[in-house]
Amino acid sequence: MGHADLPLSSGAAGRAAARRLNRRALLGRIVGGVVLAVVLVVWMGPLYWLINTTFKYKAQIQSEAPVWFPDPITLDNLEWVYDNLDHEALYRSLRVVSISVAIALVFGPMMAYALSRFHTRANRQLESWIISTRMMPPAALIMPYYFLLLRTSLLNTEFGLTLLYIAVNLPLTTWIMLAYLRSLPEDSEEAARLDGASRWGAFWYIVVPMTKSSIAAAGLLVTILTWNEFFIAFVVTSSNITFPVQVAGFLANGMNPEYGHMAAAGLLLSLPPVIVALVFHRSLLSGLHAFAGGK
Amino acid sequence: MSASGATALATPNRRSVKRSIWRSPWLVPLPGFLLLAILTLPPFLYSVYLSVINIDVSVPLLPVRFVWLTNYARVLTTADGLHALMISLIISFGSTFAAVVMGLVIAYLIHLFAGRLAGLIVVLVLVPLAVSPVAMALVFSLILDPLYGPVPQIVEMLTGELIAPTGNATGALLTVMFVQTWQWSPLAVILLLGGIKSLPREPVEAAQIDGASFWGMIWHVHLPLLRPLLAVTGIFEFILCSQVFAATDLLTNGGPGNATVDLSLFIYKIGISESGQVSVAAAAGVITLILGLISTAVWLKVAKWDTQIYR
Repeated sequence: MGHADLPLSSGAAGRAAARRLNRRALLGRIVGGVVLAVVLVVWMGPLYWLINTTFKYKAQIQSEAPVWFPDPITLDNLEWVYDNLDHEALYRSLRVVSISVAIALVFGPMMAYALSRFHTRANRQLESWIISTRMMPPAALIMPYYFLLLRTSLLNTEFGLTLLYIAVNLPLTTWIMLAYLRSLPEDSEEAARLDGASRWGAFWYIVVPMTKSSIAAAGLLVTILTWNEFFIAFVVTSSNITFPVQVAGFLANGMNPEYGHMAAAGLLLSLPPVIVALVFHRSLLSGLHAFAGGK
Repeated sequence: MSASGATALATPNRRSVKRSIWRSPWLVPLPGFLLLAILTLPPFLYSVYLSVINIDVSVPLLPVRFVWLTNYARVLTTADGLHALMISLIISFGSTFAAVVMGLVIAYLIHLFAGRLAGLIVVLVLVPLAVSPVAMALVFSLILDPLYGPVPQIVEMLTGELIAPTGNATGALLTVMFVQTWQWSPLAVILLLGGIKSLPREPVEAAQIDGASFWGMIWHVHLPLLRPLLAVTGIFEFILCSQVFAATDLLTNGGPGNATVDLSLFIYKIGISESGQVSVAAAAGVITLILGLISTAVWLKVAKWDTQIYR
């Protein structure tokens, strides 16, 4: 593989090297492009298969050889799922997600602001505690949550589930906002304080408007993760279920599985977050960087 | 006289302490901190309490006793508990390794060959991150179906062999790891791509002038510079990849046998769905918690290393 033309470096040396483009380098470039294309096709394969199966008739789903394109295209599977779906589960998901995310977005930025601007000896411990609660596998605390909800008769209620989602979303929002606020220069806040604004006055009138897009990015990431959340909802709700739990119920079993229905349900579940992620990809990228970097 | 002097001295002092509490800037975010404390601390303490007593729902009228660390011993010394711990570690380490390697390879492919399409490709690469784990379990059970799935059908066409990927222990484990890798490697791609793009110029140019080959450049110049970022990415992927449930419960249902019963599924089965040994499940939960705390602590430590390379 040629290396001279590859942008491993930029600047004068890189440009000089690029001029020496030869046939071997061109070949390397083509091979690399093909490899990248193949990787992308495999990468999107599972999602494509979900869409493909959704629009196929059963005869084509249960064929001897893979059928790569549905022919003819049918909406039967989507219709069946739409008619047999417990629509209340969908609305419940929307309610639980929006309420828990809203509460996280109200308190999270304030907590992050306090942690990033008011220095005390306990800040580091507070931060570690906050992020630890989010990074735990949810199974670690599921037994106490289950029994505490049982004792307070909140098991299998929307309110109980919302509380648990707040416990998941609030630390994550705080963490992401902390990363943004740390990288935000304090100059404009200080200027506002010199003009007589209080610390929280500076927060409301300077910091919040300046970090609007960061708050939105945090909200976006948290919304996607909560919409997709399965384990907690699966364990603590039995009849008042959320959308992912209901879709899990479509998992086909037995000798004559209805794979079309299953695919359609899976597609309905994953389309909203995927579309949101594609549309707001810039925001999502920035949120993910803040999530992972922390410092 | 002296007594009144003392009160005169003490009063403004006490008032100023009081005033300073009410004027503390921490008062505004206090409701948030309290809410989080109420939601996370009692469950934590309750979990420790549950794990040292003997609640077993399947035994009626069992008197509640303090049993020391018996439940922990039950998890860490019996075959099924140890097996669950092993499976958890295998899935976490395996999918973390795969996710970081995939992330690095794809990040380089994008950096070197995507050209003007790089932005679009990064967006496409992000997609699995937004797909619900439940939908992933569904789609992988479609793709891997022994009779109608495209993967077994293609394998049969090529080799003439009938395979059932989730039908044997190794295959089921690999499937779960693959699902985890697919879900979380987009994060590794974007983190590492950011790192590769912001590598310092001088060492790279110096190596180029010295006539380093392509692979030599990557191996001896890029990777050492990326090491801190690789460490952060790795431990972060570890934390995310160890949170698995939909794949093990829905796709393989812990099977075949108990081949894919990791700690999460073990806790769910033993504590809630199958046997009601609440205290044993709570002990397994505390063990999961400790593993999670260790990996989070390592992550926070490592994340501090790379302030200059991290964007």
